[in-house]
Amino acid sequence: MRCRDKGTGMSGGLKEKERGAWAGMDPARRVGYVGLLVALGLVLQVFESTLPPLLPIPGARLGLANLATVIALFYLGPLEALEVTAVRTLLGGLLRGSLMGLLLSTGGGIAAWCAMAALYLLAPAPFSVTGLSVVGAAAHNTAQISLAVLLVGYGGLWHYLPYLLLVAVPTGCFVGAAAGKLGRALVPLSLSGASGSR
Amino acid sequence: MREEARQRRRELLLRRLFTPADLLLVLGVLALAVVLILEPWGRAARGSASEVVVEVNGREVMRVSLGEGDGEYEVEGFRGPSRFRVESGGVRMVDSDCPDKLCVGMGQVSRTGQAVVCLPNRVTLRLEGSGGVDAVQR
Repeated sequence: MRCRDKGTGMSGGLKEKERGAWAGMDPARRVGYVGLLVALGLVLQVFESTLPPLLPIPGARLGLANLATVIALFYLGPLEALEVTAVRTLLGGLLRGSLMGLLLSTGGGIAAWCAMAALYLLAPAPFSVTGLSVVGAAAHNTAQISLAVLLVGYGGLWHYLPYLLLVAVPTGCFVGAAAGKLGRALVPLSLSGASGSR
Repeated sequence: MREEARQRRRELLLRRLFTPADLLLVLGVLALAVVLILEPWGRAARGSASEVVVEVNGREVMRVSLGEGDGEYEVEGFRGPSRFRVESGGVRMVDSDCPDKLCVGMGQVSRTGQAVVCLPNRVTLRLEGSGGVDAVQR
């Protein structure tokens, strides 16, 4: 994530408390990054909605926007990841223009955050980004189906759950791999706001 | 969250792109999905469907008998009309007032318990049957 369009006066005067990227940020900068990740998530979400449906199942999406959540989780922390997810899904839902879409999107995103944050906080050791992402995708799809059942009032929708779970695995792996590659590339970036030297 | 904790977790989660634990997780989810798919097959001994139950917003609005009731029908959903056709022992959505037309893409369903759903329009076409057995003894 190059800081090309970072905008106004956040470049100087920042005390780096520790080594490592994005550490010890002051709150203003943190908010800026949350905003940036929200934008990233939105772009991914909107882009994804232009793609033809993968399968004729409601909610079977790539879940690219979770990428933003994962990055927020890794570099800002679980609370900021929740902020990113909540704002991204709400805005994305508003952009789509349907209340149902907004509720489903937000519910799915929050559920994904819950699952991923739980794994991240309690048991990150045996897993990798990919596993984390799969958990997020599975939680996302499950929550979406559950919400759809609640909203539409038709229990038969549960029929789709296993297929959504099947889809969640490769999409979760894909997003996880992307987050992993991206994460490793981001590590060398310094806090001063200079773009990575590549 | 303090940076050291974040950094440690970041390192843990980024050290490899796929771990054995991930594999277990993936297999677990896949197994769960397979179980959920196969479970209704136990009930498929119920036989082929005999009628279509049409519901809008969770409330039944009409029933169509397969065979006798063959033909094209239209119901008013949440957003607009949904048109479906009953034929050849099954039902499929022909057109519906929704943005992505996933329901139309589902094609035809003909087994008991299957359904075609239009989420945005809140229309479901569910197949119910009266033939077959109620339970299978193994």
